[in-house]
Amino acid sequence: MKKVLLIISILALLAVIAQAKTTITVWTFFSGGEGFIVTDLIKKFNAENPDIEVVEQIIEWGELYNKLTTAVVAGDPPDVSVMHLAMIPDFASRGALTAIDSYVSKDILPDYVPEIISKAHYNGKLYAIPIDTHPLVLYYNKKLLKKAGLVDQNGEALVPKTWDELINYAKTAKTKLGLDVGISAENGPMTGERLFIAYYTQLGGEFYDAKTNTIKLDLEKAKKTYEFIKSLFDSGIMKSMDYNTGESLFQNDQSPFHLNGVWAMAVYPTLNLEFGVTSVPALPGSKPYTWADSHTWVLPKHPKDDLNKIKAAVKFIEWFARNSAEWAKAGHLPVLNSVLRSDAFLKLPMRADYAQVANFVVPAPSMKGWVEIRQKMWEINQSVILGQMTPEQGAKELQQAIKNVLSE
Amino acid sequence: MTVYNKKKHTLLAYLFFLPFGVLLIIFKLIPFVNSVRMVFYKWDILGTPQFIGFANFTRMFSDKVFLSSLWHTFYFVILTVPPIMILSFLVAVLANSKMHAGGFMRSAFYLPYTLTISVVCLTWALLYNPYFGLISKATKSIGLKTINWLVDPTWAMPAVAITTVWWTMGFCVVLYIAGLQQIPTSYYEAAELDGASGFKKMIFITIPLLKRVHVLVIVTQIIASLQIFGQVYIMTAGGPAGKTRTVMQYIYEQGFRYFKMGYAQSMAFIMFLIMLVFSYLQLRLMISSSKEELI
Repeated sequence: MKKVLLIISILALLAVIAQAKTTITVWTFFSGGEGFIVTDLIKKFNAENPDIEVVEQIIEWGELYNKLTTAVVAGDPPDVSVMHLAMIPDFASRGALTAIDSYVSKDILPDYVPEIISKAHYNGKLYAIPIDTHPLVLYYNKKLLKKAGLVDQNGEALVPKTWDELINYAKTAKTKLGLDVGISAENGPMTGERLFIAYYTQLGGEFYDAKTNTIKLDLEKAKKTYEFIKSLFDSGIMKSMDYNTGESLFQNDQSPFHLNGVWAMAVYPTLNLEFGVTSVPALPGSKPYTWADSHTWVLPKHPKDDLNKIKAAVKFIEWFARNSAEWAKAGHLPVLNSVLRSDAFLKLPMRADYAQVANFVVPAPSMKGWVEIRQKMWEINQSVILGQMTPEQGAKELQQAIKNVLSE
Repeated sequence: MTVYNKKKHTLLAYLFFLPFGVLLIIFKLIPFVNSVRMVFYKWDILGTPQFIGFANFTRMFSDKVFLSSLWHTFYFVILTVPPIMILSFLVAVLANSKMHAGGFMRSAFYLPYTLTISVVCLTWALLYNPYFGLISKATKSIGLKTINWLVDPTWAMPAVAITTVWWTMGFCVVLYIAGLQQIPTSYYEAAELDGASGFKKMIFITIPLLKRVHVLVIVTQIIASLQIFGQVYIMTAGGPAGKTRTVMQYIYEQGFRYFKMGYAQSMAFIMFLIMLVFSYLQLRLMISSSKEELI
């Protein structure tokens, strides 16, 4: 009798466990418009999946990566965390992430924009589910362009397709309207890393050598890129400024062109601003390649793998990626082809104007140490703009920086 | 008091000290020992530390970025400490005077000190903005050329220094006012009887008798300015072209961005030694000045 009771109670206990929800903690750093969308999507997921409960914890933007490192050391990380694509190698190489190859569905990977999903791998293993890409794009002020007479036969503002066109239009608008700048952009990451990568890639330059599995730099093309960026500043079309100044100038009709990421689309349409958005210009003969980073979901490494939690976590992050048309309301571009082509996404305002950019994105190479190299890029670029380094010295300095980081 | 009681008292004293002592050991002493040990290791926080001897130090002194950061840090000290000292002394004298403006001066100069660093830095960044800022509007209106303060390599650090002086001098004003109020009025009365002018009273009474406050202000401000991090991090992010990067920021970058804990720790250790020297100096000067007062 006692034995039967024991068996019954064990069975009952197992039934309870089986019914119990798997709780997944998720760390995010999204706030404002982006934050609401994530929270709403999590609510929706929880409603659709009664066996899983996703709990969101919002971490301060600048602190997430430090906190995540400490949490992994302490053996108590969240089950899922947001992570920029460019950060994955630094974390994966230190054993801080769980490889998810064997847990993801077979049909999701082929659906991805190839450039993005390849960078979610490190050393051949998949570590993340990307949910968007946020490339550098070109914003233009229709009102200013029309005022400056830069219109086609239909009276619509001219949209530059090449760098030469952009420079000409910017110069014309600047002189005709007596503006301080022709193109506004922040001069740290925006020109030093993002504009550099766009132009350098269009010249045919690469950062990653698949043969030797290292970061490389084409000195001649890097030099040409620095010459190009410097010429924009020397001619007065661009001026050194911080991020907020660049945005304010554009938002207040004081700059006809503006280089920024697509995340600005979360704000600009809400302003009283006549603007358009398009891909960055292209060099003749090249496609409009442009820098991009991407938000992804990763599974931080726990001291002990809990298969149940891993499966539930992967289920959640895949679901999120498949529902990223909703997430795209924050301005980001989806990275699943099925979502990119979906009506739900294309019906969002102006998205059709820049959706094609997703096919020309150049994410950071999937290499450890990129975070340090890009900081160098920001500084070298500023030195070149300020005339403290020639473009040639800048290119050499960048090559040396890459060598130093790789020799660590 | 009996011997027994004395023992009991000592025991009681230790008992009172115990909670603090335990916390001190856990949160200060053990981390300190560990961090000193870490200077001999290469460690990425997650992996196992790798012993590399003095390599972190040899690297540091051939690291151009570290050396320039060290110079920027001292440059910031030079730009901030003398103005803070002189201005807060002058303001304290005015605030301490019988003028009606005294109370106003006291609050006007202390208020900034109560603001948080991000409020201060973001406000000043707006003031410095060459397109929308108040400062450029003012300089333009009197026909001066607009300075692009925070992205100009010559002006970025002075701009951060001006902000810092405005923000922190209120604290020193308070110290000086406290010092001024301790000077007996009889000294001034005696001097007046001898026909001393205001200037002479300042030179021969006020300034010498505030020696302890001077030492306190100089040393605390040097140590505070050596640790400059937040202002540059928010206002310039170390730019343009790394021209405002200070040691603390470099330590932060190496440790928490590139995960080179050992290297970051070694630089922190050097900064610790530099600040130790200044603290020791303060101690010596304080002791010697209090001896003088006894005489």
